Amino acid sequence: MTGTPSLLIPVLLAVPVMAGVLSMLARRAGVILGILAGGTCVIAGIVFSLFLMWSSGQAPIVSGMWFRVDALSLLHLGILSGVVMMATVFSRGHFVRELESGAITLRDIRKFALLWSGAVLSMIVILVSNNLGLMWVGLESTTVTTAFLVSLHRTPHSLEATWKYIIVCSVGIALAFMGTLLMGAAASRVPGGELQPLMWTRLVEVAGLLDPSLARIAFIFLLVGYGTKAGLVPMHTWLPDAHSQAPAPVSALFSGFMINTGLYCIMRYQAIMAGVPGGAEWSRGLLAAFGIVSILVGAIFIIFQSNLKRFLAYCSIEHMGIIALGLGLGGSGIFAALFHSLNHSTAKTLAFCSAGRLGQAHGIHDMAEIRGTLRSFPVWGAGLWISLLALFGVAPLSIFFTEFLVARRAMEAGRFLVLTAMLAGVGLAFIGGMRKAIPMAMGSPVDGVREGKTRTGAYVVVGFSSAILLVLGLYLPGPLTGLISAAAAIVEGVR
Amino acid sequence: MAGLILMAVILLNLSLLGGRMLKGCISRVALQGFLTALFGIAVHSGTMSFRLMGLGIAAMVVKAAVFPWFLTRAMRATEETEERRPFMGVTLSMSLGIIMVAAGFYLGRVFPVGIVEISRLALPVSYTTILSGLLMMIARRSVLFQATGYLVLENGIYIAGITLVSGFPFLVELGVLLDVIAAVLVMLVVVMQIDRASNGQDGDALSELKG
Repeated sequence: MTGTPSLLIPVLLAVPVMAGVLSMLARRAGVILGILAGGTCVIAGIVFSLFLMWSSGQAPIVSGMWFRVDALSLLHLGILSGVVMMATVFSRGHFVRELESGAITLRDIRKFALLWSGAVLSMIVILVSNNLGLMWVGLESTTVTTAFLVSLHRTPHSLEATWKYIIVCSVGIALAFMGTLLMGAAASRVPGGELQPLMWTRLVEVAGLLDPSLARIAFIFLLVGYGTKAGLVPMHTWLPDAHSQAPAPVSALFSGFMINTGLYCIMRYQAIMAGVPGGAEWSRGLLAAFGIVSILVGAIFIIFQSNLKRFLAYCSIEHMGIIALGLGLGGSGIFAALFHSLNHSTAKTLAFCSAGRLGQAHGIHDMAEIRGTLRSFPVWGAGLWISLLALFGVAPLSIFFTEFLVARRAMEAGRFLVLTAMLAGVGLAFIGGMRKAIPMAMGSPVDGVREGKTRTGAYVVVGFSSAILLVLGLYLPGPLTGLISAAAAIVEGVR
Repeated sequence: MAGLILMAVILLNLSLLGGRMLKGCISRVALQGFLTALFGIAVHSGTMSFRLMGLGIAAMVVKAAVFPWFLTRAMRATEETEERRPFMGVTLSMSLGIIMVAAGFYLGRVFPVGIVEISRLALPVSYTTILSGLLMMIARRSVLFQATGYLVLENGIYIAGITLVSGFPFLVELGVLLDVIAAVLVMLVVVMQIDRASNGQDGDALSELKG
């Protein structure tokens, strides 16, 4: 297998393990959360070095047969490190406040640190695996590790959400396993394939020889299974509950990155389907259909939400739909979808962090009770306002740009029905979203609820994400374009 | 031998769909798990390697002993012994179960994809078992029965795994096994927490979050 061998991949996998172990030894909440933040910075540093290695040779980085980092993994690793960094920085302020108010105990924070490290490790495993079986193991582990993060505050509602989350996602993941088996069966029928039926690189090589009908059945199982994790309608039922009940940093991780891992797995299989005779068009059609339905259902539910976090959760469903639609349109749509992933993750992390702080301060997540936050909470209020503007596609923020790219691709491809449906969905979401967002930002502030002292972390999270959203809307740096194009070429099966 | 085991698996699906007492369902799912693991060992008996034998025995221990033990503990902790108000009655579930058998065999004919020439029954039975597991999860209100349904689904996928792919890497198989154990364990711990929080883990308590 070609590629630059590097020890950085095993080191990358070791960092969350170390962070988890170290945080168990610490005795103070601030220190525990500080270790997590430190670990995240190390992860970001390693990912950046991997990016430099990749861009110097444009060749994938490998470690043995099992681990491989190419442009697609690298892009997602970059998003992951950004999201985790913002969420851990935010979690420090969030949990220290909750600890002071007695809402959680030190034990809960330890549990959080351990499970959080486990979740980050599982997500890295998904992104660096070359073996599709191992990728599945990583995705299943994200469900197992994050289940108890949803019910960190043990209330009947959060337990209900945890139950739905674990049962719906486990069934989804079981179906994805069935798909993996079927794909493995297709691969082992190819001469010489029985040696390594689940190696992604091998499957991409022999895709033209795979039994088309077997590969199609496999893809259906995989799309439904991994689509459950991605929150595509109608497999999304766990998502609004889990997002609304989980503590804010966990919701940020869920919406910011965990649901993207589901789509990432689908993209890996889309790359295989691109080589299967007749598979490319067919698999894209399915993805586009799921995408459109998710956009429309997400948009309709956005209008009727009153809880801020549920509102954001349905917004995630809508955006996952846009990404799936971009992938389904093919060509420049794939570039748009991948770029949209980056923008959505940034905006959604900022939105959930802001919603978490504002909800914590107001003691309620009902949007009617949270008003005038731009005045009462200058930093977090601005964070929520900017992220909502971005999420509902206001120019010149970067999501407007990627939504435009997806729409343009639909037009180029002559898919006018799809274009109409997408614009209707995005338009509905804009109207429904702005109706809620404007009073939250501009209304008259709730008496007695004001930000006392703004923590440095708040400036970091809000400043960093807003800058990304604004800059990427106006200017796309060359290296980033190169990375996204290379990742899009992988998904499209260009070799 | 393999054919007999598979027939027994189908009969157990139907009897699980008709079961109302939790204790009986746990023993039946344990038996079904034992049989599916035995099926794995039986079909590979000609080409049995140390690795396959080890995995087969591990699966057998997990399916026939560990899971039932977890379930029994959860049952004792929550004092839930029977399904009083299922969403679907026994007659309806069993009738649908018979339709699932037909659907499984139909799917097996439409997609004849097994590579290891073991038994022509294997894939249809696997599909049937997966569908029955899903049906059981939908039909029952009690969360412990839903967890049992998940185990039935897992048994179905295990049969498919044996039939479809003979050469999974060891690490992957181990990872899959560990993940499934962890998932079931998490489910049952959540069941007990729900019980403590709401005194009775009836699925009804779990319908507050809507829209």
